[in-house]
Amino acid sequence: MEQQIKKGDYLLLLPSAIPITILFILPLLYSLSLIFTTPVYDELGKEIYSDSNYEYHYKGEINRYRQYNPETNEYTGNDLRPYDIKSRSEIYKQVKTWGFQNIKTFFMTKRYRVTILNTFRLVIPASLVQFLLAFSMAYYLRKKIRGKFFLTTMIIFPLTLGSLIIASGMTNLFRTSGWFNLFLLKVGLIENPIVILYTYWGTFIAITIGGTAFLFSGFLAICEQFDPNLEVAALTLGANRFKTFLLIFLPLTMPSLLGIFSLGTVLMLGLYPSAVLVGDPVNTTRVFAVAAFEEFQQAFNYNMAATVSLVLTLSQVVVLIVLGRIRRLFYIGFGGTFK
Amino acid sequence: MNKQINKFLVDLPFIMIISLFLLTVMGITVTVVLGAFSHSWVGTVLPSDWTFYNIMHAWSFYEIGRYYIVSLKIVVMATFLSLVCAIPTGYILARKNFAIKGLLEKFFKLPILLPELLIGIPLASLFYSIGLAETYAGVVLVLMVIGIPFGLSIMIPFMEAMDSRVEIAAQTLGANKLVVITRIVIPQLIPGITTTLINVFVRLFANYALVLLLGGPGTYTLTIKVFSTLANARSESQGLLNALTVYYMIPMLGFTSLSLVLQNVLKKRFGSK
Amino acid sequence: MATSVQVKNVTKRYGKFFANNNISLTINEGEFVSLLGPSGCGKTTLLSLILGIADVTSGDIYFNEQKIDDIPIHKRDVGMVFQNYALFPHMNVFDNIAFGLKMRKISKSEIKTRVEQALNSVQLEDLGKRFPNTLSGGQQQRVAFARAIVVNPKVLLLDEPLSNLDAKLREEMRFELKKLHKRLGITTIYVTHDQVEALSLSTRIAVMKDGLIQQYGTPLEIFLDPANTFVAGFVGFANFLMGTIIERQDNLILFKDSRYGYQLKIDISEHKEIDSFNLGDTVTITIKPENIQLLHGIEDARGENIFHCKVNVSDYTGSVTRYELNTEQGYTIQVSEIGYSEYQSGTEILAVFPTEKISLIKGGN
Ligand SMILES: Nc1ncnc2c1ncn2[C@@H]1O[C@H](COP(=O)(O)OP(=O)(O)OP(=O)(O)O)[C@@H](O)[C@H]1O
Ligand SMILES: [Mg+2]
Repeated sequence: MEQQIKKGDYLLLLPSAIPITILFILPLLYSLSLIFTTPVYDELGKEIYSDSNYEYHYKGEINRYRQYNPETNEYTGNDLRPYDIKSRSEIYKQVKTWGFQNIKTFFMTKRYRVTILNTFRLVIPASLVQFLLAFSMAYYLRKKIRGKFFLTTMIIFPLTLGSLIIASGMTNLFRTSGWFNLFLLKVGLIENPIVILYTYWGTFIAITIGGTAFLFSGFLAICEQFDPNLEVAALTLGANRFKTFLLIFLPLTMPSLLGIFSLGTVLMLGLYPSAVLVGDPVNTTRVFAVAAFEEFQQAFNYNMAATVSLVLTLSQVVVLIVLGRIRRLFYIGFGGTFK
Repeated sequence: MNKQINKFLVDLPFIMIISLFLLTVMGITVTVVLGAFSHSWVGTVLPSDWTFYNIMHAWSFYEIGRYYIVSLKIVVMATFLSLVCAIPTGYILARKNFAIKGLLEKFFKLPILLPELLIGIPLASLFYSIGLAETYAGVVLVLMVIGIPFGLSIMIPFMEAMDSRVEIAAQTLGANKLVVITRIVIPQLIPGITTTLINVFVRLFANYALVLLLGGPGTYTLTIKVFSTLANARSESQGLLNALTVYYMIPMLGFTSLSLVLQNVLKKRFGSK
Repeated sequence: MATSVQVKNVTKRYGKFFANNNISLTINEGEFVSLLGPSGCGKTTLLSLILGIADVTSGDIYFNEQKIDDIPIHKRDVGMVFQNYALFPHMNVFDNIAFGLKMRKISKSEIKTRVEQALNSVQLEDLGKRFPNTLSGGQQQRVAFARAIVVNPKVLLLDEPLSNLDAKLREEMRFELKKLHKRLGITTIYVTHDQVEALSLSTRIAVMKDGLIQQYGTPLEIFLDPANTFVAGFVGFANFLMGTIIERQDNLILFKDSRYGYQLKIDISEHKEIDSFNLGDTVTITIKPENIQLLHGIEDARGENIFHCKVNVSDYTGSVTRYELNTEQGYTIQVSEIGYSEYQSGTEILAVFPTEKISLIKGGN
């Protein structure tokens, strides 16, 4: 029973609305100004800082900034470490120009551009594998069977662990002398240990473990809620188990499954710890977040960092749109869920 | 008999997938713990010599105690403030009907859907320029950006499930607004709020992106410590790293089991449909 | 060429709980058998055993003397109509009904004619293109029925198919169901806990309680001659009294109640087992509330089967007025009178149990 809102009730929305607006919407707008401005460089290739009167040049290699005096035509300067620049940036503003320079740089420079390819090369196959794993487990566990509580709790367990512990655990399990290789060697499937850690596959496995747990937790509820009478009805009408699954279960659950799947895939595009800790962040697992953090923490190039995260966000939007389209295919013929 | 064999053959692929996945999950967890209690473990099924050295040494070497305290300070404060902000808003969103409600709900979902980098980078840039970066206040504030929306998303279903006729009944019995809120609304909200509290706490505790962007040496949480240690120490003793992971696992597992236990207690006490 | 169904000593256990306990039923070709019983008595369980979605713990089920345990569900040829209809929401009415035919690889043109026939027989000719969520409850029910019968199943199972409909529609659909069964002659098992439905539709009724069959017989047998007080109560009897037979003259029995000492005359000429009642037997008598006559204003009347009572509660429900009466000795009598009658509580009144309306059940309780 929903009540009509009264004037005073709007006030109660403010405690959340104000912080979110200030801490989320304003930074987003500010982020645009980061993306569409570029530092100006001097003739030595160094960024230019200035206050209202002077220009201050910052030379990375000698850790000092210089002040140019046009009258004497000389530079004077003090020693300054990089973080001093940051904390004094109220006084010394970086000189910037507006434009699409950052976005151009992103797409023209290989080490930025590869992040798109690398991210999708990881996320697309991983999300498909996750879908298959999570869906088959949820389908099997949709009915009440013995040990179901234990099994479902354990499958969701990686969500509790989080990507850090998964990565850390993987460095034990998958190292060349770890249980995984030991087992395969014993069984005789391989002759030399397979190197998984610090390659593409390390990250692939790490995100698959976490992602499968995430998808499973959503899929299980969907599969449990599916009216078993629909399956029985199909069976009594002569459809075998496989046809019942294909013609009844799959088309009816697909829209909801894809909803969760989109969320999981979109969140996965921002992967970071798995790429750094068990992947090869210099080459194959140099994904969006790796580049963004690198720009932010090592190059102090906030403009480029913001640009990378913009491209990440746009990729998410593209993925959402594509999956939304696919999802709509399954809705043809009937409007939404049915009671 | 034939029927049972048939059923088993149909089930077999599913059983295999589940076993494979669970073996991997358990392998990950068990090897961390085993590794933390062993000196060297190379090429054998189980470690050859057991030791408490790693666990003892990691405590001081990684300043675990200090990181626990810093994490606790930051996460408790951020969780508390997030809930204080989210409760009144969640109540209105769950119980009242108004024109822009759908829009507002979407608005409050955005921060947990968009990548944390997208907010974190400009916020860091802003906070550095106004001196808030690397401070407790700065980190707490930035955590609230995901704490509030996440809290709302968990809390609202609980509040929607509350029977509003009870409030109306109380009002018809002569209770004024204050009495209705303190005696009727808040007691009913306790299960939902407790569940939200634990979930937000765990989520914020595990956050790495925002804290990494906005924190500094004095305000890095245990999550950051673990992440940066693991990322930069590929030559460090595996046992020590495992011990660090175990220290990180303890609160995560603790709070999650707490939330599971709580859910069961609440189910029994308040009943579920 | 209808099918007969034999359920032989079937038990279904969930852990320690017996959902079906040693059930035996024989259903002849073309019969319409109702399973009647309170919620949780194991009706759906029995259906699901016949259907094949659950396996029997022990016992066997046969179709035409052939064991069906090893036949998978999709080859059993059992039609099922569910309480919630279970129409496929992503298929229109036509495709829903055609589903079973498609599974049987029947040619397109034949599917078309057979589906149209089925739609005709449930009077939904124009709704083939509609989707289930645009249909009313009654229409959905008809589609579910058409879908089940279009494949000519050997046996048709109906699990409370009318329970989601309103009272008027229920009656209508009951009538349709009866007509359809007459025309098609499919062996049908019908689950309900509505005794009126069971009475009007069935050739035989099985009354169940706690996983056991209490009585299996024609509607008349069950309504005139309930096997025990549970069956009697379930089919609408009330006013139970336990006692002994103290006298017998041909078809007239004199009964003495052991609690209050009332003596009642009972005419048992309608009873199936007239000869099984002997002097001194412990029996229970019962009478339906609507068969009791009320007399007002002749307080001093004397005669057989008359109780002097006071009105305790009266309740007018639209078509009948129900009364709860108390005798001086504390016996409570349930009475319903057709239409509205106006006896205030406290009114002194006489209740008469007509000799031929009293049912006799062997044993106490
Ligand atoms: N899968 C199961 N596990 C355990 N107990 C079950 C299971 N299925 C049914 N039961 C129990 O068996 C008993 C009979 O259930 P069933 O569904 O057959 O009742 P019913 O007669 O159809 O009742 P209703 O009229 O309410 O539909 C119930 O007590 C139920 O709780
Ligand atoms: Mg039932």
